[in-house]
Amino acid sequence: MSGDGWLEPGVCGVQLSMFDQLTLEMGRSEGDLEQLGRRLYAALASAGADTGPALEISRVARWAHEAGTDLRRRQRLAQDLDAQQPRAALSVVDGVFVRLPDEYSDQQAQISGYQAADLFERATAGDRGALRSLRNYERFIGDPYFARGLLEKLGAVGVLNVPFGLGRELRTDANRHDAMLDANTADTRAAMELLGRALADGTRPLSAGYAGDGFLTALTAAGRAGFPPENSRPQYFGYQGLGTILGSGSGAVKYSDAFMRVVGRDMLAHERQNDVASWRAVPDAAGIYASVASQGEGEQSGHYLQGLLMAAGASRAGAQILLDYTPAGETSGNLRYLLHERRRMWAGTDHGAALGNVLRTAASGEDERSREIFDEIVRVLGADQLKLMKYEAGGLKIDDREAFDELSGLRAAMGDLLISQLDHVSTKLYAAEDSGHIVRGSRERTRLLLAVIADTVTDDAAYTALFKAHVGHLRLWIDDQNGKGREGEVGLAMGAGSLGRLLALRTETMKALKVQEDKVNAALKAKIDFGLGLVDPAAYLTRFRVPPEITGPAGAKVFDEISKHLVERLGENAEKGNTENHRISDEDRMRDLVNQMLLSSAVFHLEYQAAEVVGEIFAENGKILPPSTWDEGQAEAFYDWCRERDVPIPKLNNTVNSAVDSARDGAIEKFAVGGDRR
Amino acid sequence: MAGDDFRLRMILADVREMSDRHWRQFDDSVRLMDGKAWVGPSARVFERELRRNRQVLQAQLQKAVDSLRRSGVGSGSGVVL
Repeated sequence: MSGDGWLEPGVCGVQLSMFDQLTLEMGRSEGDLEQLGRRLYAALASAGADTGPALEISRVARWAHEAGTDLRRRQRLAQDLDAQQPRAALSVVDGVFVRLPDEYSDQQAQISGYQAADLFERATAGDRGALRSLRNYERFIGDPYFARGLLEKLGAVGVLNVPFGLGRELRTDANRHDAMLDANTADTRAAMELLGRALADGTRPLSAGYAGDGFLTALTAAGRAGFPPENSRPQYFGYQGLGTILGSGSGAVKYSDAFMRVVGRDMLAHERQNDVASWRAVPDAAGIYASVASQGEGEQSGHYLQGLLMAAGASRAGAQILLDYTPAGETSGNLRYLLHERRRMWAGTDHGAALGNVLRTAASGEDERSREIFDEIVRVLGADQLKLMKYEAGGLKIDDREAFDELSGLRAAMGDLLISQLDHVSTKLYAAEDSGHIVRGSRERTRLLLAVIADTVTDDAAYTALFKAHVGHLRLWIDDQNGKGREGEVGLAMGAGSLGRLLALRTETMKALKVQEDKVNAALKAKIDFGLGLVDPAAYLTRFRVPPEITGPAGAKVFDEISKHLVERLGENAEKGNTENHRISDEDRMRDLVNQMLLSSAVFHLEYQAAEVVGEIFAENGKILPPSTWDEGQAEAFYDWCRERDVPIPKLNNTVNSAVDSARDGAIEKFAVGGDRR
Repeated sequence: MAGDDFRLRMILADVREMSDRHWRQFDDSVRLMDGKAWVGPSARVFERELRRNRQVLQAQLQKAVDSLRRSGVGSGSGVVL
């Protein structure tokens, strides 16, 4: 039985001594045939015979030269590989083979991986020259063969040991105020990035660089083992080092599903078993030196889990694999653990920012699993925040500000999530408000959702983004309905109600947190006063053909587009707070906004003859001017014109009016029921 | 023309000697490839090229000898020097 079926794709095998002979043979043939070609040419020419055969043989000689050159390069590489990694040789029926990448450039990359592994080992031991030399390998970032060579040579323990060694060296630099500290820090960071990328590439099962299932298992064993290795009193454990490596990609490096399933889940399971006992922030290896390097003793130290969360946040599948899982021996799933049980820990580090990243990735898709994870986030986070919010004297009260802000770093991500699930959320809340008697337990779910929104909108950026998305979304929806010739009363009430609720929750929670000035709200309100809803995003719409059902994120773009027009027309005034109009209630302002949208959309979809508008002050050249440019006289003339012609005037009806009116109370009063239990 | 004939015979003898010496030029390499000195995708390409070039080499050597024979050298004389 022979053949090379045992070879993985893209790999070739050589039997060293035979390959040496082959290389020698071909080298000899090159010279022999070159000489033969010349001699034969001379002979044939002097005999006056056809010199064709001599020319053909010279061609064969040239091929032999090319093939010989290729063989010599491969021979060198095969010898190098065998010397560096004798274990890689494989014994099969046909003989003992050294395996190497089939393509020469791949072979070179793998050899470079081996060389880089040596440099990493030396750098870990304190060799600064080696650390600097690693900069030369940055061109191999993303090369699977490089990754494979590096991981094979370094091994799981060697990989995890790198951050500890580099960290120790930097700490020494910092302690003696070394002049090279900055340069060494930069080199260290670059080296960590190189290692992180290689780890991601080499642990991807479908990649040519896959280091094998065994490597993943070895990583989990090394992760739980004490470091430095072979130390009788280890100070750290491997996963702290892995945290640094995973965090080196700043969340932009995607690790495979297999990596998350085997290593990611085990890392978190290990953390759950160990951290819970002490509830002490365990820094990653970078944190070990960062606090010293920055000389800020009081500075927030990172936790080694942040790196894992950053890496998991780089892919939806990876994030879901990590969150939607309950480790053996635990009663709660990872999502609940991270969001609830571990809450106090995050308060001591990044307030859940890294966690937010994973949640955003895991739950913002349109797939069923995203939706389930989103609902679970609302259940867990909502319950915790709800306990801290009281309904008192018609408003909200938040006593324990510190506890309320434990996961403040999460709000930006929650804003994005609420936008991506905008339809889902609006429908749920509207249904709950519309009828108090739907499904059992729906009341509680509504309160949880409202608590999450109330928490999220205390963050300026998250609130602004949400508000924009809602406005843009509603505007697109109205346009879509007009285009289809529908009234869409319920949808309109739903959209208007959502906006009103958002504004109310923002106002009330800011009041409860005793935040004095609300600049964000003022700017948004001013935009409405200046006719935000009158601007027609038709240009934007026709350009992008945005389907209204996926307009959560698109809504924010539409909003930006229409406010741009508004600012172009009105200058800076449109951005400034308008103090004169402060007496207008929020409800009236929401109604203004929706009315503006209805009007501009109606005008856009209105069918009329040029002759019908001749002489009207709201028209020019037989066309109705955009409502965003009208003054009051033009608006009134338009309404008169509509009445004369029996054109239905777009106006808010009672359903919408009451939705807007009840938005605030409907939202805030929900916090009353059982809101003070703790 | 006897001198010319002699010169051509010398050339033919020379070319025959070249042909004999290089006829088996690639045989060792082919044997090593048969013995799986090198396996894999690029090895298969190399082996195909090796066999093709061996054929080309032998065909051209034969052709060179034949063309010298056809131009009258050694034909009919029966004498091989």
